[in-house]
Amino acid sequence: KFSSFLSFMDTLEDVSRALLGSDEDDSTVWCIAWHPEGKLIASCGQGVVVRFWSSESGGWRQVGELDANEHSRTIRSLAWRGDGDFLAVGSFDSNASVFRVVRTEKGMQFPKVTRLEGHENEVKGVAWSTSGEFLATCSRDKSIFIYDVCPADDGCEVEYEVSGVVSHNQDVKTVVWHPKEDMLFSGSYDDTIKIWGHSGDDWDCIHTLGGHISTIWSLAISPDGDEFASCSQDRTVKIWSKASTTSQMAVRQPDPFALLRAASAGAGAFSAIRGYLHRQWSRSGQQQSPANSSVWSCVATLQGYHKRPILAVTWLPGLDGCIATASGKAIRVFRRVGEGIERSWCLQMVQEMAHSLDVNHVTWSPSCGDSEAGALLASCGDDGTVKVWRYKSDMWV
Amino acid sequence: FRSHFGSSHSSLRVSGTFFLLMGDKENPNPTVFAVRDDTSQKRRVPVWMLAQADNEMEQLDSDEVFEMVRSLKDPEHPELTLEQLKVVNKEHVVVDSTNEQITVQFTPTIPTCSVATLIGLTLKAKLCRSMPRRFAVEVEVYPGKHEQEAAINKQLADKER
Repeated sequence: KFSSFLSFMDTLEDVSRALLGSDEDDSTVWCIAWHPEGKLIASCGQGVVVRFWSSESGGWRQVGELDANEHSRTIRSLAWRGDGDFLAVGSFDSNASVFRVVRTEKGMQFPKVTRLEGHENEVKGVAWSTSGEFLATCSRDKSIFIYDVCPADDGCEVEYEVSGVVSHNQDVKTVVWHPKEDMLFSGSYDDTIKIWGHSGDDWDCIHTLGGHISTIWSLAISPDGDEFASCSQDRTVKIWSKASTTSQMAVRQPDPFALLRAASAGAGAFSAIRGYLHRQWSRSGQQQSPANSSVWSCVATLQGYHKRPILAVTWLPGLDGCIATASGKAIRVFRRVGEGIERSWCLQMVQEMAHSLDVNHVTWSPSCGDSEAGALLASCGDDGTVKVWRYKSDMWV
Repeated sequence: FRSHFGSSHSSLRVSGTFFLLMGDKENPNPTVFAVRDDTSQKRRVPVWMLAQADNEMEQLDSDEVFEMVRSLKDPEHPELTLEQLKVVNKEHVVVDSTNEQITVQFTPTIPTCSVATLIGLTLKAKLCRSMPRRFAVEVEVYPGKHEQEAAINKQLADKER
């Protein structure tokens, strides 16, 4: 328990009771993802089995297992599509795949899988756009692939076509879509965050945000999409906010360095990439002037709270300004408190030994909590376990 | 780090020795230092304490950590150990029991050493395997001892590499 100077009590209680996880060695769990309905969690890690956990029949327990044996190495990340019918996974074996997920009385079934190849080495992140139209994968090969998700004519099959390839200077650790627009945020080993948007078929870098002094591990966007948090190897969390500049007619230019990097990413076998580059060069003479252009800037840096690199940050839906972080073995919860000029971020809660080894990921349940039931937070770690926590606060506004 | 040394990746085997076939050695005549013989001074733990120790978390000190890495062979001169080349030094091994962190700073023999990252990865792999898992292992270049110090340290610190 942690009692702040504002004298209200926050609690973070482990509600999963029995430690969930696998019994094998090398059982690091890298990532967990909540099903959009908020009652089911998928977890992945060093083993190539994806596990599903639910509390629907009282108490958290495993309710399904997916043998993703088309992958030969660690599954690093996973993401549910907005409708919860598809699950994308990204693996260190350089491929990603998308599974159709069906829940029946007999349990969970996975009638179809689509394999996505093309990255040169480890896939680090996968993310679906809110519209469901795009899927992004990012990799240590410094590139991000953005796929068009096209339902086939019969309505059952889904096809994936590369819509764009963009890149950073180094390993891309994470990709996250904006909750309202088709705008992609990416964080990288090159210490920058890039924001990507598209006009027609072409994806361009709208913004490159510097400020962190080491690798960006994770990004979390607020539900309204007006601000986001980034966490880094440099042991800080930065909060970024959008300042709209509707009065200016800012010109949005395709990032010339992105073209060079896309070329040097070496995915020469991909004709879609060649086509993309060709389109870029041929329209380099034209420039786009969108009606309004927003500029993101860092409005707060949470420094001195974390002793280890921060591997994950997650933004609580339903509460204004509340994030949780994973750093070392600890989970921390920060809240934004105060009014007007007095507003600042404040550490609410530290769970020092959340896991017995490093915590790799934390993510809030998508169902908004309330002051009665609190909010649920899932975490996973090198100790091979997945835990679910209930966060409660007196200050639930 | 994980992607190179994961169990199913076979192209880099960690066996404690790396042999490089190099025509011209980067540092053909390294300085070889005498090795301290402190085996006779190893503490002997009484039997009654051993029984107690089972129930408590094992305490770690820098001697034990140094023991793990002193005999690792240098990639360029496999007949010599990292201790003999003063690449690893007992004074540059720090164990922080409160924060459960082990820090080893190594000194490449020359500031342009091209196998510095390799030495760092070897140290890290050896320590992660032989130290209690609850300890975070940090391997860095000793400050000022390599031109690419920042880039090497960043690679060694990346959990996924």
